[in-house]
Amino acid sequence: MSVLILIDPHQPAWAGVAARLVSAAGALGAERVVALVAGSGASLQAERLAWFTGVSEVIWCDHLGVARVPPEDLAEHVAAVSNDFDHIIAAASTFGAECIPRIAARLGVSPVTGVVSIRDPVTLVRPAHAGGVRMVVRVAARPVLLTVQPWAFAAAAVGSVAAVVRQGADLVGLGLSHSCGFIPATRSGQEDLSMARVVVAGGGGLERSGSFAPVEALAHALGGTVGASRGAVDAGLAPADLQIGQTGRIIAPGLYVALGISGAVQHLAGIKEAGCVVSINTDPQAPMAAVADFALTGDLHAVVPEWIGEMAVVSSASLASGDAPGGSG
Amino acid sequence: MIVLVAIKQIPDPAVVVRVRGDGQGVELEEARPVANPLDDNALEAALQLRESGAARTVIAVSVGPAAWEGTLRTALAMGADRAVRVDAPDPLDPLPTARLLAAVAVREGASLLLTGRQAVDRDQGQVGILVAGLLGWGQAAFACGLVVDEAGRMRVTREVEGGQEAVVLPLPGVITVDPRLNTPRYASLPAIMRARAKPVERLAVAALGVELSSGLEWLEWLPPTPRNPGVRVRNVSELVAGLRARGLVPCRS
Repeated sequence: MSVLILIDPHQPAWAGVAARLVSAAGALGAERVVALVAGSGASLQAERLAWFTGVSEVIWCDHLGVARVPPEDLAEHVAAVSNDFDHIIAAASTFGAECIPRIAARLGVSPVTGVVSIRDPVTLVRPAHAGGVRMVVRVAARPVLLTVQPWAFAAAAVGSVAAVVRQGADLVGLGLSHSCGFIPATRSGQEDLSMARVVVAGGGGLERSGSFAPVEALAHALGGTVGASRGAVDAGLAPADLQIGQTGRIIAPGLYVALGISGAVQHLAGIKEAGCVVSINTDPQAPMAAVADFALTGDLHAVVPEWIGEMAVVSSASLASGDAPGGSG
Repeated sequence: MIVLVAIKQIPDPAVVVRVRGDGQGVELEEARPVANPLDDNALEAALQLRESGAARTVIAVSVGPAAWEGTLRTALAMGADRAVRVDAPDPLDPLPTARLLAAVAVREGASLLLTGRQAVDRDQGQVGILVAGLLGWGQAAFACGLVVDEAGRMRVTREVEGGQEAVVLPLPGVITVDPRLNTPRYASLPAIMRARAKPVERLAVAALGVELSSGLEWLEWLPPTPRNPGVRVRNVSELVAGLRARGLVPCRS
């Protein structure tokens, strides 16, 4: 069983995503895992990919100095080498969503997108209807093309032996589209939402004060990543790439704190796999309060400072007594 | 320029789905049919292209049974010039759907296909990109901005992880749209009345020479991972105590 994994070198936290793709390849029963990364400067990512345990070979491809490779060009390249592989996988990210179906179309096979569980090499599980159901599908054709949710798989370890890294053929520029600029939005240093362990998100409840500061302050206090509901993004309080939900990011943190988020079906679709959900909302009837593990009815503008204060007391007390983090108390 | 807008009819996404007793589908009878909301964004974009003079004709197209014609009539009422329905079963997997749409695009001489980035029922997000791949057209996915430049190329702003990417897409091409691209217009009552009398053209699968098999076998439908019932806490102290009991209060030291 041979698996090709496609890496997006531009996704923030690409290496963490790659580690989970390697592990998904293992779940598919891969004996040989080849990682492919394309674009100018991709040799740097290739060198790092080689250290993941389970990777057999890394191929990097140049593209005439083009950093952001058009998906059409990458798809054509991958389709041409697809005979060597039983599976071709990418993350269920914008990159995976634009590459995997295109490769599938070039090969005339059906792709499977958003996979969260692998029963056997050809039987895959994926959520649908805003996470309200999971569908189990068996794929007849080879190769099997799929995108997987990174959070659904453990990260592969970094080993002590590096796999072979080689330069593949340059990609051919088809000229069907080209990238001509990029405006970064995510705050630097923030962990990628799809893999974050703690996420604090803000919603329409912040519109009144017109500031996302409480969300950022609590995220900082909890060591978490900032997220947003569509309401907050549409109100201009947070950049679109922080949106959690059916048409945003799907996340699975151990702790998810929803500040002033009512909990529309579309938003809940993005947090179905969260471990512990906390809802802070003035409306006790909010759907978010119904799904939350801990629901607190109150104004987030009062609750957040109090929570941060309580945290400070806890951590200074544990420092003084030498307790472990979050100890017996 | 002729613009094709692919529209899927779906059960009202506000209705919560349940897995059927036999595990072979979902119970949605009570959900009224609506256009996939993201396809409405695609239609709005096409209508704006026509109003700016960049597009000549906007054709709304669906691949589905006769029961989908109401959605196409709404597209006509919103302003589509024509509506075409490929008579096909529902559900139909993305690959045969894309094959049929590609055949319609060729038949109609379209140079741009617009559709939602995903249909919010099955959430597969494949059809637009599959059509681009089948036709060998260029593509721009997740469009949150769209303008036509002086050379007639599409200048698309794409919503991607970490920011926004600007892409130039010469035609022919496929653009899949993000809900942030625009706000779809409402159809006026007179337009809805007029649309009742307009024809929805019907195409048979056989006439398009397309094979409907997808190579996928949907084995079963499962309920989502169950969540444990939660508790209501009265104040922050109770909340923090609860989180600490579950080992979820990280220490800042």
